[in-house]
Amino acid sequence: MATEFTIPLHHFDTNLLPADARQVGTDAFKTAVMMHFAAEYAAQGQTAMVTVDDQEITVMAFPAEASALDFVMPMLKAGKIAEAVPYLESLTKSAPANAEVLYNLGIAYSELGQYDEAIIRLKRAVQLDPGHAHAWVGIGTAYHRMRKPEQALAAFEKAVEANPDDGYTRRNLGGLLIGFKRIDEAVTHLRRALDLMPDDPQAIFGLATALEQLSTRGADEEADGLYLRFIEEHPNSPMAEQAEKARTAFAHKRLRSSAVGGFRPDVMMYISSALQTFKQLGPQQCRTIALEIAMLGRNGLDINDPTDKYTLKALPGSFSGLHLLAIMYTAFRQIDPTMNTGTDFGAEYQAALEMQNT
Amino acid sequence: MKNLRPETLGMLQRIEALSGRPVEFKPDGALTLRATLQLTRNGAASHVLRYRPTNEPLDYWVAYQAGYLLRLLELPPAERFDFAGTGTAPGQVEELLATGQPQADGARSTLTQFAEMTAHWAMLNLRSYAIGMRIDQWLADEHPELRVLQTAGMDSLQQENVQLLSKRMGKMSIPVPLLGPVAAYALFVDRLLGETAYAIPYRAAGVLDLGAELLAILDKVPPGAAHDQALVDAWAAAIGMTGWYAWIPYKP
Repeated sequence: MATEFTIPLHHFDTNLLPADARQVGTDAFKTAVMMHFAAEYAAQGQTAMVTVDDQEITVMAFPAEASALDFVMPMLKAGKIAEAVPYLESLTKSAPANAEVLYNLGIAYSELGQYDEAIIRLKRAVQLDPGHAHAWVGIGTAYHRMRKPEQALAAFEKAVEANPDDGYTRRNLGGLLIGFKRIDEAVTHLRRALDLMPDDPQAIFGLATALEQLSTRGADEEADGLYLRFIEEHPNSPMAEQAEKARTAFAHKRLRSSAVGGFRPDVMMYISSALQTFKQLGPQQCRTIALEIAMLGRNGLDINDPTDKYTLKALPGSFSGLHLLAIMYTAFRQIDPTMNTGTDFGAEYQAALEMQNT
Repeated sequence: MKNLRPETLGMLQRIEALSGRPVEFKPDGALTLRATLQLTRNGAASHVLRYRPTNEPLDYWVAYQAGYLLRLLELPPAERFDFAGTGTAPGQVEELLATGQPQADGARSTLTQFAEMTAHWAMLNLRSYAIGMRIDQWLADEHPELRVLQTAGMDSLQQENVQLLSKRMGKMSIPVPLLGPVAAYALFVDRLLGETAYAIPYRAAGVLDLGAELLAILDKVPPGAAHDQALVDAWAAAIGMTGWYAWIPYKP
């Protein structure tokens, strides 16, 4: 069982320390206090972690057979990173060659935004254990956060070299390679990451993103499926909205590519009908209809299904997804011709206008 | 209290036999202490054992409390005394707080409040730990079947006691000499269990020498209940608490 206690600095018996380390608050004092408790508990077969600040000394002691990290990891997992750092620092003094302690300390510094401190510890960790793939990832992440992509890439490559069968290392390298526009390599690493971590949301999203950039029909279809999976499995993720947008873009792309010469006569007819409706109803009603469709379409309109499965409060009848999209496009063009609706029905709109004027 | 072990129930039956009064069990989830066993006074019909129902190891806490009563009841009625404050302790603690603390807090009321709280706690500890160590030794010697529970209970108390080193109100903390009894108890438990490290924090806090002195007094004074008053008085003298309390004849 661990013992944890705190002693106010003014209560500590400085006579227990070497004469040259009795000046309270000095580095020599802090080190001597740590060494004092380390020695006292070591003599009882225990390990001590000690922190000394301006007001008090905190000691955590536990049986030596237990891993020191067992007592720090709960703090890190609970997000108490700043509180854990002094204990990890204390451990690096009593066990300076422990790569796992250095790794956790480095990651903690990185999470606190102290990247230089993080890199120093993590590089020491990989010196001690060159096969520590996650420490290499930690180095890469710190460099990435420092906006040093070249160094980050080198570290991520080292991570994969250290452990090619670790999904986490593959995922990080693949993600960074997207930024370097090395898409084929990114896809390879992210695909492997997903093999190794089949349910990892970031691997799913990362592979979809990389595939999207390949811009081939097959890659688009695979990416669309991955985005759909991401949305279904992680509907509350902030990235779900990005996935929705990407899926909408795919739908538009498919819509356009399925038409002869890229022109959709059905859309032109929907627009022509909408122009007539808006002319009768006036601009206020036009805005109401556009807004209702926009609200309805927040989660995406199914524009590849021809069924008239949608209804509106502001406009009688039932509509297909494509029909609604055409009405909304028309409304926005009427309200503000410069507005970007995310859909290009310009040719169909122009043709509808010309048809109205003839 | 069907859950208590036979040996613990046996201690309570002995109290009933010696005193001629029954022990009444009262579970109390709000109890701040682990368990209390109040000896009948002023003609009350029964002794009252209050305990937290979920507090483990309950057998140890009950046995420990029973030990106090048994020591008292083993004495001839004329030698049974209660321990009571004389009212001087808070003032004495205020004086201690005025020395050896980094800075006194500005508010007089805070100082008074902390002194009263500390005085009450110090007197409770003076008697509890001096006689309590006799009881722990008795449990260790006479009731080895409770050893595992006793070890867990003593460890639990040590974990609580060590927090006293940092107990504060504002910038005030408990004066070091008053920590003597808990330091002595840490040394005692180390000795009883062997190869443990409960005393280390008290050495660092500069109170272990006093703790060792108190333990030496414990070893020097004969262990019988008839010497409990002498033991407490000797501890009080060593700590500087003489005159903080008085012994009052016990009235059943």
